[in-house]
This record gives sequence, C-alpha cells and structure tokens, in this order.
Amino acid sequence: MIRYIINRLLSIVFTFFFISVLIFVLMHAIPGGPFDPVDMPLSDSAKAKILKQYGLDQPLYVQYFKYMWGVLHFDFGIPYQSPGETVLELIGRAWIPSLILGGSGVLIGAPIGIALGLIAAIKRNSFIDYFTSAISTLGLTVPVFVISMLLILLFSVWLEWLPASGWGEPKKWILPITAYAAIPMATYARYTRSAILDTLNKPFVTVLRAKGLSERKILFRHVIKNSAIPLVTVFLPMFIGTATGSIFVEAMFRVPGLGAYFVSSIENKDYPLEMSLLLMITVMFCFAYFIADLIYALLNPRIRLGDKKKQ
Amino acid sequence: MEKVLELKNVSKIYSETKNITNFLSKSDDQFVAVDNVSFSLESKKVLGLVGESGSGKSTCALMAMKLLEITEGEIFVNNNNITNLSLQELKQYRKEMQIVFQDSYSSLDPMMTISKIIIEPFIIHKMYSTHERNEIAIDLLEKVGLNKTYTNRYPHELSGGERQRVSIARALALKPSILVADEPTSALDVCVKAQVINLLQDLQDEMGLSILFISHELNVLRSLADKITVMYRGRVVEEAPTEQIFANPIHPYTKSLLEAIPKLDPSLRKRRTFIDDSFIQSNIPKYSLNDVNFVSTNDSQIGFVEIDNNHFVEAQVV
Amino acid sequence: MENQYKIRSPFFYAVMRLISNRAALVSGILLSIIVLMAIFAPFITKTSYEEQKFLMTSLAFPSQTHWFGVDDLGRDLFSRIIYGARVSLTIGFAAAICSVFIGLPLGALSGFYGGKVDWVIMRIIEVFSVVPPLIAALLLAALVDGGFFSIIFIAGIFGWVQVCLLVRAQVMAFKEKEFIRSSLALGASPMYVIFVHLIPNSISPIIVGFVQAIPLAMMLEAGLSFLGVGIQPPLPSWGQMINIGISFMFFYWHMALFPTLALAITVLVTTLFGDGLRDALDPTLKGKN
Repeated sequence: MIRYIINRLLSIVFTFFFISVLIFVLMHAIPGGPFDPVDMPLSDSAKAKILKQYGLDQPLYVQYFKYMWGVLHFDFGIPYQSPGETVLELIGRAWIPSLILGGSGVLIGAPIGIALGLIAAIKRNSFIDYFTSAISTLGLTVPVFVISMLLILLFSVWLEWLPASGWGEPKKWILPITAYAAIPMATYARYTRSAILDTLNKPFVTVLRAKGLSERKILFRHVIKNSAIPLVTVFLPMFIGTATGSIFVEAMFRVPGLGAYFVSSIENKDYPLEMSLLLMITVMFCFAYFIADLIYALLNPRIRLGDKKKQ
Repeated sequence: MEKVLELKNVSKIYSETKNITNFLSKSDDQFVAVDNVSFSLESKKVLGLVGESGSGKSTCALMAMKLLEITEGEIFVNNNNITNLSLQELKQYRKEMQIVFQDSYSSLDPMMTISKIIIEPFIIHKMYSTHERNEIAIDLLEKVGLNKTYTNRYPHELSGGERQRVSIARALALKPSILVADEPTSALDVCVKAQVINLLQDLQDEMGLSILFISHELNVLRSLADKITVMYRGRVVEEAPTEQIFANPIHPYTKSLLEAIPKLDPSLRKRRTFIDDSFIQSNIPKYSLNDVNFVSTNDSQIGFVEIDNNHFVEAQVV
Repeated sequence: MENQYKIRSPFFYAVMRLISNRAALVSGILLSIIVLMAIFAPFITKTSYEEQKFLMTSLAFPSQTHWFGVDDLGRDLFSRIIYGARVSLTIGFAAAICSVFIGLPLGALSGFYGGKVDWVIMRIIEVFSVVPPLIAALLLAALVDGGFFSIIFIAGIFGWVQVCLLVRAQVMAFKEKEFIRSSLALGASPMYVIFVHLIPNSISPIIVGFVQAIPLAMMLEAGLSFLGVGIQPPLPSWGQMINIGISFMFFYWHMALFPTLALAITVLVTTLFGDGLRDALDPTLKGKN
C-alpha cells in the first residue's frame, strides 16, 4: 500500500512537471505578447522597459524556472490584467461564486441522481426507468451551455419565472445551479442504476433470496453497500470538473466567477494567471483521481493496491 | 533412443522489478514457477507430463515451444540448442514442433472461418498456392474426422470436441515431428475425450509423431504414454516408464495421484487419506547413496536418484 | 441435413442485436437523416449560409418562407443550421478518424508489448486525463488561431485516448489467448499477429471508439466556437450561432433556440447510436460456453 502511494505520488510529480513545461511552452508559443499595443501606441523603449519589469526579456527557460520556483513557495505572481492584487488573491476572490454555484450544483444533483438511479434499478423497464435513462443521457451528452440555454429560454424568456443572469440575490442562483446540477445528476443516475443492477444479478443476491430474505432487506443491507464503491469514487473528479463547466455556465448566466478568467487569461496572454489556473486544475485532478483510487482500495476488500497479483 | 526434444535444467522465475519504487527498495518478489526441470522426449514416443494445476507443467510446455522466456536452462530440438535463437531463426524449427492447447474455444480466432484457421500455417510460411491450400485444408479436416462442410463455419458454431479436432488439424498442417499437447482433453466430456485420445493415437502411428502429452489425470496417460514424468510445485519428483509408475510409485505425490483415480471395483475403494503439502514434505523417500544411482542434486539434502532401471525419483539422500 | 446449415459470422449477431435495440435503431435512423441533410444541403435549401438576402426582414420570426426565421444579418437560419450540420458532422467524423489513426496503433502496441512501451503510453494518457480537454483546446486553438482544420486536429488529439484505451484493453485480453500463442507457435511474427489477429478482433472497440469520438469532437467544436476561438464566421457553426443567440434570446428567441436544439439533438442521437453499437458489439464472442 505504502509502495503504491509513493509510486502514485512520484507519477503525479512527473505529470505535474511535464504538464507545467508543456503549458508554459504552449502559452509562450501563442503569437503576440501581453503588452502588444492595442489602443495606444507604445514606443519600443517603453515596451522594452515593461517587458524588463515583468522579466519577459529573459530566455524562456529562465522565466520557467523563476516562475516554478515561485510556485513552490506559493508565489503565483501578479496578474497583468489586474496588477493591484496577486494571482492568489484574484483566484480566491473569483473562486467564491464558482464554488457556491458549482458546489451546490453537485450537492443537489448527486442525491437526486442517486435516488433516480436507485428507483430506476428497482423498477426496471418502468416509466421512471425510461425517464431516468432519458434524463441521464441528456445530461451526459448535451454540452452544459446547451442545457443552460434551454433553461434560460424556458424559465426566463417564455415563462418569465426566474432572472436569466447576474449574481447577488439567491433567486438569480437557481438557474445556474440547475445547469451545474445536470452533470452530477446524470452521472449518478446512470452509475447508480448500473451498479445496483450489476449487484442484483450477482449470485450472492440469489442466495439471499433463496434464504428467504425480504427484497427490502436484500436491497438495503446488502445491495446498496456493495454498489456504493463506484459512486464514492466518481465524486471528487466530478466536483473538480465543475471548474471546466464554469467557463460556460458563467458565460451564459453572466456570473462574475472564475470561469471567465480561463478564457480572458489566454486571450490577454496573462501568463501568470493562465499558468496558475491551469496548474491548479491539473493538480486538483491528479489528486482527485489519486484519492478516488485510494478510497476505492480502502472500500473494496478484494483489492489491495500494489500487492502482487496471483496468477 | 534418439531424443527429439530435451529440456535441460530449465527454470522459470517471475520477478517483479518493473517500477521505480520496486527498483529503489530492491525487494525481490520472486515466484519460481518451474525449478530446474529436465526431461526429454524420445523419437516416436509419448511422454506424459502429469501434475496438479500450478505445478508448472503448462509453463514447461510454453517454454519448450519458446512461447515464454526461459529464465535459466537450455532447450534442444533434434539435438540443436534453440534456447537463444531469434524469432527468424526459430521459424524453421516451428515446422518441426507444434502445440495443441486445452481451451479449444480460445485456440481458434473467433473472427476466422475454419478453413482460414487451418491454412494459416501455410500463409505464415508462404507455402502452396491458394487452390492447393484449400485442398490440403479439406484433407486435414478429413484426417481429424471432420469433413468439408466445416470449412466456412466459425468456431462458435462447433462443439468443443470438433474445435479441438480443428486445433489438431492446424497443428499437423506443417507435418511436424513433435506435438506438444497441453491438456487437450481436460475440457472435454468423457466420451469426446476418448475420441480425441484415439485420434491422437492414430495420428501418432500414421505420422510417426513424438508427443509430449500434458495432463492432470494419470489414467488418461495409462494407455497413451510410454513414459511418465510427475511434476509437483515446479519440480520433477518422479519419472519412470508408464508401467513402473502404476506398479511401483515411490514419491508420496505420485501415490496420491494414483489414489485419485476412480476405481470401478468397490472392494478396491478404500478411505482415502487426505494428502496435503505437509504430508508430502514429511514423507519424502529416503535412500542411502550405496543403494541407488545418484543423478543430480537440487540442494544439499534433496537429490534426484535412479532407484531402478529408468525409474528416477526425488529423494532425500542419506 | 448438414448442407442446410446456415453459416453466420459474429458480425451477423451484432447487426441483429443492434436492430433489436429500439433506442439505437431510432437514433440511427435520425442520425442518417441528419447526415443526408448535411450531404444534400444545397438541394434542401436554395439560399446559401452566407447570403444576406433577407436584410429587409432580418430577425424575422419563423414563417412559411423561413422555417427557422432570419438572423440579425439577414441570413436564412434554416440554411445556416443545415450547413452548420455539415461543419459539425465533418469535424466530428474527421476528428474521429484522426482519433482512430492515433489511438489504434498506440493501443495495439501498448497492449501487445506491455512493459516500457505501455508505461510511456499510459503516462501520456495520464497527462491527457488530468488536463480538461476544453481548457487545453482553448490554449491550442489560440495557438493555431481557430479554423476548420485546426479544430479537427485539436479534437483528434483529445479523442484518441478513449480509442487507445479500448483497443489496449482488448489487445491485452486477447494476447494471452491460445489462438495468439498458436499463431506464434506456427512462426508468425508479432506484426503478423497484431495485424491478422489482434486488430480484426479489436474491430468492435475500434468501431465503438470511433462512434463515441464523434459527439465528443462535435461538442468540443461547439464549445470552442461558442467561446469564439473555434470555427470563424462566415462559416456557420452551431456553437458560434448559440453564442450570438444569447444576445438576442430575450426578443428573438429563434436565434438561440434552433442552433441549441440542432446541437442537442445531433449530439444526443450520435451518442445513443454509439451506445447501441457498443451494446451490440460487446458480447462479440457469441457462442462461448
């Protein structure tokens, strides 16, 4: 087990280093620079001065190591588009709306999805089963901005029940949270349904039935416990996945969150912000998968990570 | 007697030193599947290799066919050392030596028709024209007791016995002199089993095959094998002509295998003593060096001795 | 009678299973209709996607003459949706082909040789799995400046992982099988085994991976175009049209609704068809036991 953890951590370090180099090179390979004159003409000497001030005149590898050295000390630099604060402060500020909306989306969507999946699995081939399948396929396939658009058209434009955009009063949160909730709900509905059906088809369930145990006891004492593992492990990656969703949801609902910065930092060549955002997402995903695998191993008595496989 | 296939002190050790942390910690997670095994197959004879599952007999077969890397030891085919040959150099020896596996279903590519499967050897070795290939395929099918209606079928449409016949037809396509049969009958039911064994016997007479027949049941080998080698936990524990093994088993493991054969006469049935590993370990035969012919030694106390003419057993030497 | 025996290939059973799956059948038919509409776009609508013929009636609501209405620049929205299907489907198919071309050899090599080859390929896949495709695609799109072929290339780069994993799993499951060993025992080279046995036996995962890569590529294209870094006007893209639709949705809902529905239906139908194919092809080894 410990060997497995060390192995995974080493692999995360490797992935992190590789991705950081890749992103850094890609970022700088995009034509144009952050201080190319757009509105006001900038003299060459003035531009050179600014470049020097931000260290952009140095060779790329020097810039890379300087930046990464800073990152190792939790110094992520200063965003070019908002020089009054550090990157960390900006992310911390913009994170709050994204976290509230995305977090509530997952926390609301997941239980509903689990409930739907459970009912669908028990009442197989019923109306609710088909309904759940339809909903989960829609949520998993249709891009989140399409869902957002349909929500807006339905609830804001035609029914005029809810405001379509903005941030502040909780009424404005309802639609974005619903949009965020679509993916977790769909994922959980599908996973739960297939996991429960899988378990119901296992021989041990037949044995329990043969023993005369009631269906309800079989379901709550045995089946759910045995189907829970995949449900626990998808949670973290899905939660972090809302960060990508925020790009669209926040653009659709005009929420001043983190999402817009992903696009604007790339457009404006805001290197420190761009690098920090991408590294942050990468590291979170690495650890989310890592923790998911660990939880999987802990919950599943049959799997002992890193043990020698017999036969 | 001429030896056509010989394994000399062959070992297979699986060790896990794949990833970085294992490399750092330098731990030796080793599993010895086959431990210093030697045996030989004589021309136009049948050698039975018997042992329980996990005893390393199939590993030996795969190594003999050079389908599995050999950790230590050497393999000879017609007195040529093939241990370190490249894939290209091995190709000509492939014509000499073929294998039939236990699982008839997975032995045949599910996406290919029977005739395609049978002519595959000719495609690989670029032999004959398309027309000749198809004719030979039908000949081969008839030789193994099938007919040409089978040519366009798929493996999933055949029964287990029929599939095993197809496997045998493919193995014999190149007219090999050596056939390794890796439990070819274990997955078949009793009467089909007998048919396949009869087929192999007929083909042996007809084509002058030398067969290495692997099985976990001694009674299958009784009528078929000339000599039997018993493997236990990756080692050869006893080797003798077939009659000797049945008449005078020495090693406790051989005895237990013999006892496992169901007996027809109820009066011969006795309460079987449950034989486990510790029983075998503690009942290893003991011989004094004066009485027997010492052959080789695995470690300081256990050695391979010849107790009778061509009857070898692993024993404690005192 | 032996002679009357009907010979059925594994493929036959897959087709039967596919036809008996109602959702897959319906989505397959719908998908074919969309594909046909995209191919024969010039015959279905007389106005092209960029002609600003209807400036006088720009932003008109759906009517007999303009089924989906007219957009802000006086273009027939129905034509733009149909031609948008061309763009979306072409990108989906082309990217899926790219995905197979990258994923198939890598998956086969990784599965067959294992060890170091596998380790390297798995690390590459790990990198792809922790970087959200959309964000990386944003970077790449900024680098190559949008455009039709760049999007295909980008979608291919992110689509191959699934194909690779599917093929790898299949090859790993098959390479220990006896028919592979038999072939090697007959003297076949590793390349022969890969091409003659392993790849034909991986045809189901390849088809499944191919079909599943299509909606992913279409979504990626729509996402990038929505954010303004994908397909550039005047070439019509549903994602781009949805983005424009946002500004008009409160007063001219048709500008937002139709591209949204077109994208939703196409992606949904393709995915359902892909799932149906997977279910039909999954039990490839019919007749075992």
